[in-house]
Amino acid sequence: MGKLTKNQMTQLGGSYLRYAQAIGNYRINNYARMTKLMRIRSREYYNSLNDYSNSFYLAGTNLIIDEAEASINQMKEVAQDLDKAITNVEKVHTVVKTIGAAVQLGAAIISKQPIAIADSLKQFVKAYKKVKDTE
Amino acid sequence: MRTITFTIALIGILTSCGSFSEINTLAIKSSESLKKFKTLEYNFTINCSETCYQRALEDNRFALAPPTCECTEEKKTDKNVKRLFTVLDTYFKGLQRLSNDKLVNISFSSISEPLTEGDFIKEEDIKPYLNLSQSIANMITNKYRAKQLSLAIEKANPDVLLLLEKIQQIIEQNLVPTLTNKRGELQQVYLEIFSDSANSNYDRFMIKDRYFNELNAISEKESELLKYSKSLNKIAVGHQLLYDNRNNLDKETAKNAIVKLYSELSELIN
Repeated sequence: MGKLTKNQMTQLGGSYLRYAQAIGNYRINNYARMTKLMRIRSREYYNSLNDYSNSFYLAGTNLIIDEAEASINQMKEVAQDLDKAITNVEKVHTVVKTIGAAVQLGAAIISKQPIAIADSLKQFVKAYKKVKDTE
Repeated sequence: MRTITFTIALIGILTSCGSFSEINTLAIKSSESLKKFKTLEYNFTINCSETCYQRALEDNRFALAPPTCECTEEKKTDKNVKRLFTVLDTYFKGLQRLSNDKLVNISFSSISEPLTEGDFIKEEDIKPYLNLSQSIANMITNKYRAKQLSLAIEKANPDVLLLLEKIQQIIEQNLVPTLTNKRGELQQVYLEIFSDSANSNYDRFMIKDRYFNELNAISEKESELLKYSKSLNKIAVGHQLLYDNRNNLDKETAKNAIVKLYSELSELIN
């Protein structure tokens, strides 16, 4: 016998739900006339049918999840790609700060002020070292 | 003077492009919507535990301890259902981070401070150059971000749609029907309590009142779950919209459509 599909499992869940409802309706309409034993037995049947119905819904869910496994793995891969892209953007962020320091150094050289050159050179070296550290 | 005017104009052009705040908000709303499932407080384990507890109450034997409801299979299934949510949430969090404009809001102001503070160079002399470098840097990183966002959205789209569809199937076709079972079982429980000849009319009135309250609670849970499932449809539409516009993510038409969609999503979440 082949395996049941998720749709068949869900249909079985629905069928057992209706069987339970049939017994439930019978109990409601005939409860006053039923003996104590009939009440107990019919309730046990009712509970069993309800449990089967829930079990089929659970099994149907497991089959749906099985079908999603490949997508789960693919999505994990995409999430890793995104992490990598974020790290790269952060790295670019550090690199461009160095460019800024270089611009500043250039401006200091143009202004021909030795103290400004020394100071901006210090800034540039600091920024450059940070870039090297991230590599 | 002409150089400065040109520089300022260029800065204006460069800084005007490359914001992904709409994608960022859509990703945040999608994550929030996914998280809402937990707040609905209904899954297979809860159904199993409540049924088990209910039956122990009906059992005539009087035990010293409350019933232990293992619900092993249900716990296993719920854990797997949670994986579907987690993998989608991780993805949307990644989109959120990469589309967050703060990630690339590069500022060179801290670099220029030591020089301008010491009056070595006038601030107005250095500022246009720093601003220009800053804008070019932002543009480069924004181009990179646009490309990476586009690649991720393209790669993820079929799986995002499939996973959302699977979650919807689970909720609508498998989880919600267990509430119908619960409703039926409740009817049987109250039938037995109600039919007890020892009850007075007042007792019967109170029993009915409690029964209807419990039925209402089930119906409310049912409609919350179905409404939630509908919100997942919105996430799917949103992601498809991102996919369709993946190469024009910073264009106004795409942005407007995204804004409209996350507003709708917000209404469903709240």
